[in-house]
Amino acid sequence: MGSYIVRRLGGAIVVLIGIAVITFLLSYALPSDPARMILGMRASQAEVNQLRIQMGLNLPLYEQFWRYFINLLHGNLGQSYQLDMPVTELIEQRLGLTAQLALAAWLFELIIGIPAGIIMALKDRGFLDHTLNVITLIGVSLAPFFLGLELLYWVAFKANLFPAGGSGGIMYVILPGLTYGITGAAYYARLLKTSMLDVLNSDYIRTARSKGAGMWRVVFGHALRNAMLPVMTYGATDIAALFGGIVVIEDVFGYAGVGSLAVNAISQTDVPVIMGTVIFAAVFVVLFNVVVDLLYGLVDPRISY
Amino acid sequence: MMAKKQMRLVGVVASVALLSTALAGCSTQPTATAPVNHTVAQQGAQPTYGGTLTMDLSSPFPHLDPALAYDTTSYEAVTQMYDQLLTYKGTSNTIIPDLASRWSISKNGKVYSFWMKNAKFWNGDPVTADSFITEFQRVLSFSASGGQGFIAPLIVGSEAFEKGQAKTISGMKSLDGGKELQITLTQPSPTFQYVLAMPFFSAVDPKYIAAHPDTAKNDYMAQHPMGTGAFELSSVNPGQQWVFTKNPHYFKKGLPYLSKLVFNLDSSPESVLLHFEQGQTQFIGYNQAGNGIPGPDYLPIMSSKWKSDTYTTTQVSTNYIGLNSSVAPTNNLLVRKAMEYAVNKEELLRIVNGRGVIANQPIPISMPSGYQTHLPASATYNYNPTMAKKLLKEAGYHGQAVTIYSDNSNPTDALTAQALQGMFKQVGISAKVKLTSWNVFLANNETGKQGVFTLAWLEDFPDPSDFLNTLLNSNQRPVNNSSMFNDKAVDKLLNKAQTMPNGPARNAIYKQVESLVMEQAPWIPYVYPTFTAVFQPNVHGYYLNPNLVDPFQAMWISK
Amino acid sequence: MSQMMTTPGGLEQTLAYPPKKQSSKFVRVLKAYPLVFIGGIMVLFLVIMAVFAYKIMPYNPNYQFPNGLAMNGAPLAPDKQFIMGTDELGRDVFSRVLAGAQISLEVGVFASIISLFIGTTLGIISGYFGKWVDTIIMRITDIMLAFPFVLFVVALVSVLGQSVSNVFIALGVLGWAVTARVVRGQVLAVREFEYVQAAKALGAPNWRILFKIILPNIAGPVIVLTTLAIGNNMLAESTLSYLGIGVAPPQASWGNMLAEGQQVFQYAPWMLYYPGLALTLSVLGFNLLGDGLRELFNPRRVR
Repeated sequence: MGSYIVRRLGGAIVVLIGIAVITFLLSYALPSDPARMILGMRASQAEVNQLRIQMGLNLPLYEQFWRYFINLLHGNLGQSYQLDMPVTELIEQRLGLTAQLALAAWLFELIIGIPAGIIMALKDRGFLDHTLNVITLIGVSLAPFFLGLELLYWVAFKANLFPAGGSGGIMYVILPGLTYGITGAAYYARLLKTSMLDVLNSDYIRTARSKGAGMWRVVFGHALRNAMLPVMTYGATDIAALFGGIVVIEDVFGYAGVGSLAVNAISQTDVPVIMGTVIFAAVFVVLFNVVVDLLYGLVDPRISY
Repeated sequence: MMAKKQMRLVGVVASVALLSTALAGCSTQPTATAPVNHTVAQQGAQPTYGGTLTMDLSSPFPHLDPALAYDTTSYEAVTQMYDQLLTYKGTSNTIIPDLASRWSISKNGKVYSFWMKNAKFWNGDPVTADSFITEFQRVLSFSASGGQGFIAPLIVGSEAFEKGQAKTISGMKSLDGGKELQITLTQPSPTFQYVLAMPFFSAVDPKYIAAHPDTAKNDYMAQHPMGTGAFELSSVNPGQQWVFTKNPHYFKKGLPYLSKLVFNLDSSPESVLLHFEQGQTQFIGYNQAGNGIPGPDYLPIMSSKWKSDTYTTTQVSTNYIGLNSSVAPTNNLLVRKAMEYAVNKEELLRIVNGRGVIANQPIPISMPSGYQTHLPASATYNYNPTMAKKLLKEAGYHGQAVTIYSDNSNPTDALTAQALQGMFKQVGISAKVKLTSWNVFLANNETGKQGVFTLAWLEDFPDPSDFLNTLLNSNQRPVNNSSMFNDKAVDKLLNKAQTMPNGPARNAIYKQVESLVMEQAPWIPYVYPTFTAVFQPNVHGYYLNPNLVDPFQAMWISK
Repeated sequence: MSQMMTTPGGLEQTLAYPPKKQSSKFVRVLKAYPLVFIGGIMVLFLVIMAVFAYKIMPYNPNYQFPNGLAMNGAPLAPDKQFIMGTDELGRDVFSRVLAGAQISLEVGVFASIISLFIGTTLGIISGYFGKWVDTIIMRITDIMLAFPFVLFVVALVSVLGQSVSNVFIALGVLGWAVTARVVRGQVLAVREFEYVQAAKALGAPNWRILFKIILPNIAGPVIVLTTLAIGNNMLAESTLSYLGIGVAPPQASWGNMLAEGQQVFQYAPWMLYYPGLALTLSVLGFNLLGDGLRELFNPRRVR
């Protein structure tokens, strides 16, 4: 167990360094000059050159990377060109809202995906199975911003059930959460169906059935609990990605999370913010997965190291 | 006044560039139309106090510091928080005192004296002559300001201060214990009074600034403004929301009516429309980067019940296509002329839903002077594809690719660029469209290497020099003069007009310049745009001065 | 665990089983799973439309009809001349939807081929050679999977510049990680087969084992993944267009048509709904087909 933890953490550190290298190279290769973007169009070339020196942009590549890396270790993701604030602060301020939406989005995936998965397993290859399969696949096939706009228009505006975008409170997370839920539920449904069928075909369930246990009791009493393990494993990594910001959907709903921060940064070519949100999401995913893996090791004795 | 040869080639006006102020025009008839119950003209109704005006903002405010603000989005916020010595009356180009109680100009036109009103900053500090001297110094010492060109070297001692050779600007004096401000110019200027109405030259609190020293790079004032204005910045959620609350001690008694202004960042036109339709926002106007109702939202609003709640006025602005004379193939005059003939301006106007008037020269029709009613034939281009093809042949054009650069944040610009590409193709010019974000677009344009680009210019003040000298004088290359126009005769005329007194002689020079410029075809001016704002039926008191922004202090919401 | 992040539900699980001969079960699968037909027909229809787009379309998709706009500049609703209406520049939406089919499919297919190539190669190397090679490749895969895909692609397109080929290159180069994971798992399973062990023991060269045994055995899952990836990449292209960095105008892609239609959908809904419908149905086609093929290649599911 101890050596597993060391290996797992070691691997994670390698991955984190890799993330740093890639984001650095991407920022480095971007055609825009950071010094010019910070000082604005009206600054003189001399000043831009001076700032370039100050920022170390004239240093050899490896030295620039080293600076960049040290900054990352200190949680310094640079300064937004557009908002003139540290990127870390900008992300921090939006974390709360993003977390709320991530949770809502995840719940909607489960609310749609789990019942669908159960029914699809029970009615395997029946009409309901095919119907639900098609419905959930339509969800995956929709462009999220397209679906988001439709919900915004018909549900929020025409039916006047929700505010037409904005953030701050439960009324604001339902529609964007639902949008994400619809586009993501199919994965859960499919996963649960598969694992549910495996469980339903296992000996102990057959035994239970043969002893006359009712279908619903079997499903909810035994099968579902066991079948949920792979679903929750997927769910854990899924929610980690959600916390990185639901990029496009946040923007459609004008939701002030990390995702819309990223979209605004893209429209302004605010490179430090774009890269900052990329790194933030990536690091979050890695760390979250490490924690989940280690927790699994603690709670599930079947996993051996 | 704005540009002398010595002037640094800073991008003086570039970032305001797009879309800014509108001018209801003096010489030409103001075209403002608005339902009676919304305008100030309505005297019957008694304004009510209180209420919150919520709006969408198309991009974050780039600057909240008056010394750095030089774009239509920043102006919207800065002018609520800060006041200037002079301002414009109503929707006219008439200058009236603002923070000055009265003012006078010496006989030789060089010495300006201003007496201060009894006004206070939000923190209770009084406005004095030093409030302005400090701000003029800040503008000169912040290289990124963009405002230097308006006062240096015009004000005596400004250059010495800018270069760090003097600790103060010798031409600016605080007299009578700060109650009087005296400004001495090196020569008379026909436009200095307009300059003093620009947000650059607002009153700032010297004591506050001394307590929180700032530089252009680390700007305390940008995060924590301190002004005299009707609205005070009360909270910011960076990149998302800006809230301004009423200044209860505003020096204009009885104003403002509204308690609160709320700006929410929302860049997509479809959301801007939905928010308004749902009543989440009360208003769409200058807050949309100075453009009024965003392009895609215009037709839906004009065909809705809100049509009667709109306000329309002609902007003193020119939308143009820049043809860069320093890169191939637009360095060939014949190719540029062919492009002029290839453009169907009526079609371009129709694409923007007829929101404007067809343009044929840099100066907008609503500018009080300088507009040339009858351009000579040599400077006139009517849509004529056959002529375009003929000129291309003459020029020896063999299908070199042209790139049309445009800003992707403005849906109408992106459409115009595509339409233009189609028109070029019709006459045999192969063009591709390159859309980038506004920042990147400007940064590239500033280098003077973009061959063909779509851009617009909005007046800083009602004087033709603001268009012709700023954008076409060769000493403004490449930042403002990004079409790289370079003509000795034009330069000579422009430089001469800079110091001439206002009047027919100066006006005649600008008209002459217009003909000379259009003969060289550095621009395809295509539309003088109109501005349309829309508000909920309970919002009152709206008007738009061509040189200013939304008049929030005069607006009120009925219960 | 994290490997499943972007895998459509349970894919790896079902793929992890060693495939057997399935020809005899083929018909039974199709009977049991009719949706694969529907998906296949939808994809076939899309491909035909895309390939013959320029033969089918009534007009040049980039031509701006002078009579394609109302006097006030409003796009025209569908009528006899323009059966799907016109857009804000007076261009024929139907012709553009067809031209867009070509571009969108091109992006989807080429991006997927690139990912397929990179992912399969790395997956095979990783699974077959194992040891430190495996560790390195799997770490790189972890890195790729940690990034938020859309933003990652945005960053790369910003570096490469905006064009059709750069869009599919970026999608392809960044989207191979799942394929690599799945292929590696498959190779690991196949490697343990007795006949592979036997072939190795008999001294068969690596390339022979790779091409004769391993490749045919991983083909099924890889086809499934690629089918699904085409749909996903078509969606990703639309997202890039929404963010303003997709296929550059005036070239029509469903993505940028959707992005334009989005802005005006209240008064020109045809500009949003026709490309939206085309995109959704096409992606659905690939998803149904991929989903069906997965069942097809998974013998355990057919009883």
